[in-house]
Amino acid sequence: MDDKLRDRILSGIDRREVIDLESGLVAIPSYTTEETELAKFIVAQMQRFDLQADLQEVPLSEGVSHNVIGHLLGSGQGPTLLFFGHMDHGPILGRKYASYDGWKRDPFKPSVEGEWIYGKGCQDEKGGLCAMLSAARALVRAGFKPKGDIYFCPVQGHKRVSSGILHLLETGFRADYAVNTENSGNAVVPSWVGRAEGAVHIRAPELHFHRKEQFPELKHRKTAFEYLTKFLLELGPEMMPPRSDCWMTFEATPGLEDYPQTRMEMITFHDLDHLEISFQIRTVPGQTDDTIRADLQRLVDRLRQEDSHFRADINWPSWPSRPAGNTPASNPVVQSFARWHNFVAGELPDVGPRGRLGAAADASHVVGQLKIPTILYGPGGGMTDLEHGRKVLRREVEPDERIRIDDIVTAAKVYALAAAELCG
Amino acid sequence: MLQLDRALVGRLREAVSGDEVVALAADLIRIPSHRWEESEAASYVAGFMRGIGLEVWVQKVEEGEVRSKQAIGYLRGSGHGRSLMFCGHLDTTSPGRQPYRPDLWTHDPYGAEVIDGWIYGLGAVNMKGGVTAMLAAVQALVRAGFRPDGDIVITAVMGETAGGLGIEYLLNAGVRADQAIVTECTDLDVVTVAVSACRGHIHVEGESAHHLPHRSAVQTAAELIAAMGPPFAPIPPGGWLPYTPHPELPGYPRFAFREVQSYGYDFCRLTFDCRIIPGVSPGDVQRQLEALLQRLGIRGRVEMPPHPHVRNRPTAEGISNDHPLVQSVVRWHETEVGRPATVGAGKRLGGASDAANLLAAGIPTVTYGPGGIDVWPMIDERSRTADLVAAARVLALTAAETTAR
Repeated sequence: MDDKLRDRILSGIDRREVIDLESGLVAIPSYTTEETELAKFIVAQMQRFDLQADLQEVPLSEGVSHNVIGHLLGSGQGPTLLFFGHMDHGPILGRKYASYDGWKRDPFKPSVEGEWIYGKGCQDEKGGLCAMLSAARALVRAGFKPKGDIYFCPVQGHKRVSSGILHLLETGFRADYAVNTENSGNAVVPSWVGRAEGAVHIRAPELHFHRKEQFPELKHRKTAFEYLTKFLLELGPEMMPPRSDCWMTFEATPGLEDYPQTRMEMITFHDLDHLEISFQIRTVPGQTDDTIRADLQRLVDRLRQEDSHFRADINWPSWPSRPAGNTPASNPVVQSFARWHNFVAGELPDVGPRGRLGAAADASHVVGQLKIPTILYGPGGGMTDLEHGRKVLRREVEPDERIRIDDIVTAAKVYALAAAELCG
Repeated sequence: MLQLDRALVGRLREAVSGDEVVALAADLIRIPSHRWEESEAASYVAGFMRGIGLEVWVQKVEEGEVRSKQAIGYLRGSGHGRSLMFCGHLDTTSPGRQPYRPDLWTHDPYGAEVIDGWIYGLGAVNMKGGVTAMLAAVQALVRAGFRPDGDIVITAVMGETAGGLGIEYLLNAGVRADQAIVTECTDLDVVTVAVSACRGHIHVEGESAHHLPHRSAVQTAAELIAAMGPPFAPIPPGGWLPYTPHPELPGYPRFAFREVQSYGYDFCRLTFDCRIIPGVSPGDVQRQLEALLQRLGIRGRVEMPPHPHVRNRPTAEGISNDHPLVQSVVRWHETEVGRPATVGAGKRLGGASDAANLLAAGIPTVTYGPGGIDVWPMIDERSRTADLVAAARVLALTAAETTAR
């Protein structure tokens, strides 16, 4: 890329404008499935700087929500690039479960304090959206005409099993490269864990005090609670690296050596003779629903060999799984982002899974369905601000979500320069 | 040694009619009376007692969302003898919950079919058989023209299967007697000592952290279950609940889990049922569980009882085998049933009943009634009709003997 274009693009990104835009995004609540107001705001912003922008309706069982499609039209001669990031913020079950216990600030009145900006969703992931929009604005201002199309797509429903990105893909979206603007601490993340969730139903006869003595056939029977415990302890340890004798079969992925991991979801009590445990697995590349189902069956069979009364039925997956991602480090999208991060931030980027360790992302669907080389790169989170996160956990500081303004600015510059390079 | 006039014995035996006993049991079985829904059965019992000339009082039990009733009848004595209370509960298990499994039944749970000397139905054992026996016994006393010296009080209470809300209301209303027989299903064992049941929730907290290592409430609950040891088995000496073993209640205390509920990642609630022995109180269980949580480093709390209308029974030492009431039941059992009585915990070992509340209130109490548990879960619950009749005779004869001056 010639230096003039580079400098023109960079001059189109202004810290004050970034703060104003981020504040505007944070000020609009966008609980999962309630993203439409934010989507309209984003479309208006895009149109203000002359980017072609449309709302895309997303039909949901709860009603209707919207994605945004911003489009910088290319001449058709080069690779295409898709930026996407989620507009919704938690809690997972929506507005009525929202709790801001311990928050010092109004979650939807963004406040700038020193190098930080505070507010609900500012980091996860309106920071990424802000950087994406700022990059688009800079490219338009610079008069940049790409060869391949560049799409800027804030999507809804990340926490509703990725309904927004799935709808976008279903309506025929395609690109040669994709960037998920999830918070990675501006690390270039080419591989990340997937997320799969299912359940196992444990069945055992109901016993009663003294019936074991009264009825000899019950003497060695165990309750569903005992089997559940046995099963849970076999599944685990929870959120810990796999044991050497882990029940799952998988091949280690560099940087993801601490995975796969299990995470318990909930126990459902059907009756005393029927308990259900649902859990997640944060998967590594190569693990599929089929491999997990087979692994679970093997575990169940082993437990049944130890105790012939053990009964467990596997329901896997109970939700659509998000596969793990594994874009080769040699791919141009990885290389370009690493190079421009180095240029903008003045330091080598962290290239690898560390920035999103353990977290799943909408990117999984893009990779899983379309096999598009995809990376995660976005401001906030990751390995940045870790000490603050630990203090929040220890309840030593207020839990108000925050993001460093300079990180958004950095991401915006990297997005714009990498896009110009990949699609120029 | 108590004695009864030989002619009276004959009249009482005759006054218990087998057909009437079975018809009464059938009426009771045909009226569904699931836990908390005993009003209709209470009205039926009140009507029956009025019909035989007793003084009857229907007591309302209203607690939280519970709106139920129980029936109390008096056969008044001359006031010079010892009074006796019969006590039986009207509630049965509820549909959809174990151990009642309507999906597995081959008989109509409310049909009261009589086949080959057995009567079938929900509550046939626990314990409409026993309620039948005590009502038939009092009917026989009236029919035989027997006038007791001490009052005979017949109480058909609600809420026994959830810890005894009914018996608590009864005692709080001042209903008392010098001695009592709880007609629970002992399969005609003479039960003098029993465990008590206490229930509660253990709330455990996990700590979820987005993407960071943590221990969920589910995992924490599993660790707690593992630490408490196997349910339905004796809590070992040195286990989480200290106690001095009771010679007549071997293998107890024990505990079991009754329910588990998850609330998001961070909260899980285990519901337990603990069968404790004299010397251990529900308060001890709560304190020891709290100490266990602390030892395991689990954030949580113990809530006892689990629901506002569930009660934790007190523990109480049993009645002495030498008590005249025990002696009387044993002797009449032998003459009417024709085999020696088993005295002690008998087949009720592990079962709790309203007898604990009566004993704790200072009333010497025996538990004796028809109906045993011959399958588990209690599918096609059934009682021998001959046992209902024999129990009615034993209860009538015992009442006549122990309320005499």
